[in-house]
Amino acid sequence: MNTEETDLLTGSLRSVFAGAGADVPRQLRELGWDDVAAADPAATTLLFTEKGRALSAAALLDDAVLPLLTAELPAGLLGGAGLVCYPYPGAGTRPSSTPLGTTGILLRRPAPGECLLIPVADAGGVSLAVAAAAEFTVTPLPSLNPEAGWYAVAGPTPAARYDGSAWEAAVAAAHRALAAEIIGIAERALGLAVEHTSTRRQFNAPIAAFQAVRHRLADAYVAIAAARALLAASFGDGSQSPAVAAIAAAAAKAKAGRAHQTVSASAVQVCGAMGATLEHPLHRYVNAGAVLDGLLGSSAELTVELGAMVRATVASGGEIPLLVEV
Amino acid sequence: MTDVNVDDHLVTDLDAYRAAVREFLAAPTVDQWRGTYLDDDADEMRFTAGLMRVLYDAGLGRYGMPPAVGGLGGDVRHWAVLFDELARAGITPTGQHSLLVTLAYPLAKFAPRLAAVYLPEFLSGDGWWGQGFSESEAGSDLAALRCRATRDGDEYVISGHKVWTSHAETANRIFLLARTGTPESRHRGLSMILVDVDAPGVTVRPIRLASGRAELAECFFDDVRVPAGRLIGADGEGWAVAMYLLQYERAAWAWLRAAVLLQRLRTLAGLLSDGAAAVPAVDEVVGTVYLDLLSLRARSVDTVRRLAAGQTVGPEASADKLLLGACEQSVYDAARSLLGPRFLFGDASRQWREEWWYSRTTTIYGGSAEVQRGIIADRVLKLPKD
Repeated sequence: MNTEETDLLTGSLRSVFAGAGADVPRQLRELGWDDVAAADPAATTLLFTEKGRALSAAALLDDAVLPLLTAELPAGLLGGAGLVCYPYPGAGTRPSSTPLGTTGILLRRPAPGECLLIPVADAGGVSLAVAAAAEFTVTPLPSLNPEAGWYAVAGPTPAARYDGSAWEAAVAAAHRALAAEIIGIAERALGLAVEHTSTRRQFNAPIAAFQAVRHRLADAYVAIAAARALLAASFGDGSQSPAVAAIAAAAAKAKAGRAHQTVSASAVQVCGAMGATLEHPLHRYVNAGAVLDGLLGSSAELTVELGAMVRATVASGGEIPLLVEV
Repeated sequence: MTDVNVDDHLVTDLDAYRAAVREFLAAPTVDQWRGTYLDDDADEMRFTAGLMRVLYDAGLGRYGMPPAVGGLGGDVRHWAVLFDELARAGITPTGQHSLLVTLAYPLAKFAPRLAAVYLPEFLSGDGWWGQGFSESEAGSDLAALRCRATRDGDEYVISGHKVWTSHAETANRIFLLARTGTPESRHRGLSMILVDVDAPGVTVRPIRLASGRAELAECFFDDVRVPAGRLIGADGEGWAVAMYLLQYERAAWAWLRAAVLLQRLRTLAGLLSDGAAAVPAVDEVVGTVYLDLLSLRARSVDTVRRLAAGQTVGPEASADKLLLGACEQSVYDAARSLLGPRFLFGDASRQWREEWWYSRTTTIYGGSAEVQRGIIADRVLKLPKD
């Protein structure tokens, strides 16, 4: 994708997300987004970055993940659109559901008759279960981000199980999308901090003129730049093995989450008391990014997983994946 | 210079160049440089000069520079591949390499005739050059430098002093940034000159860093006469040459350091893997370092590619410099905290201790982290100054 195409798509996406309460999935279909994404997987980065910037709560992640998971399932098993039952946070990238019980998160309220696709941690790895949402207890999930609109799921795990070998690739796709969304959120948070500090005057100067403020914002910029570079690199050149692609995607999400933390801490500090109020929009970006960071492995969990991978790789005489070559 | 058969394939096909380098570095010919560390910087420079010679004779150490200056063609990406492969083979890219990738390109661009005469000695390991920029009163504020070059007929007469010049104790020439304009001319009145260290009036005094290693030196110039033909760029163009040079420091040299740091992470992980069982507190630190290294490379690759494509790198390259400094300290702080007593005590960890101290300077030299943050605040974020 060249710069011109990127700018054009970014403009279209901004107007899609700008419509308050708009039906984003329908508008994306009208835009022919599926064809765009099929032509260049990196278009997902544009989509989710804009989603993040707009703080959209649309459940677009399901659209990115479901086709990967359902490719090997019997046709029509899921019925209509279906929802992914994401692992309940706290177990890294591993499913929280077991053969005994299902727990998880839905990104939107299921429509009547809709089915859930549930990753299950089985003895042999990950399998998939499918069941009507009505068979579970589905309740709104209170969180740091009241705008998320997520639901908690609980209930027994269905006995019928299907091939879950696509789980790793699905998680990788989700990690890349979430990284982009978190980066978009962090960019706007930095933008708000730049706007605030450039106009807010104290001691007869905009507070952005003070070096302590300038340096914090510069570090926030660098954190985002690093995360963005790593996300772009995580798509590889098409020759990555699935294992390396998973490592790259996890690294991208971990770095994005960490960048969001850096940006949030600085933005909240330099926006002063105003930034800590409901009137000021900053809190929405702080909350939204932090909650997304918790999905499918937080930056803290992923960092530990990556460190364990590095040590195990070196111990077995393997090569640490570099992800990037000139 | 034309005795080696130029293999065009390796000029255009980086993968083929990588494969050729990898095969060469797997041979016992280079075993003496694998995992070798010498306490004394001068000894180490003389030792690694041998590796430069071996790579040069094999032709593989000549890619990345055009034939007109002693190279075999290709661009800065060839160096990046060479550094990766050296590190992969357990060989630290040499001190000569770190000077070469920053000095060679500005010389070739601004003084092609000097480059044709002098770069072959650098490529082959017969000589290496210091970068004489900083002075005791001109560190972060480089444009305040005072070392003077006065035109006298077809010569310049240089008087003044430079400090923190890397590997100057053993260097045979200095890339000297001197004032040819008025004392108040700031960056407009500077010129870059290639000065021989053995010229009468040049004195070099090694400086021992806190670790005890004398990697840096102080250079005194006492009415040193240099032919005007040694000017790099035009008289008064020194700042432009220095800024052009900095792009390579932000890109190619950063790539070299990332390769070295990855090698160090591998060594560190090996030292920690005695039991190989997962220890979250350890894995968290190792994972953080790994993420820092990955994002440095991901960022650096764009900068390297842009330079290779002949594009200019702008103020956003300050982010590369900040990431590199953070990464250097991340690796060595991890070593210090995870090795604990093994870091503090014993002969086996002399290198860790020396490099830990050196890593403290990585946010100081080449434009301090504070200067880089200032550049981003001013020119990228465009924050108001008053």
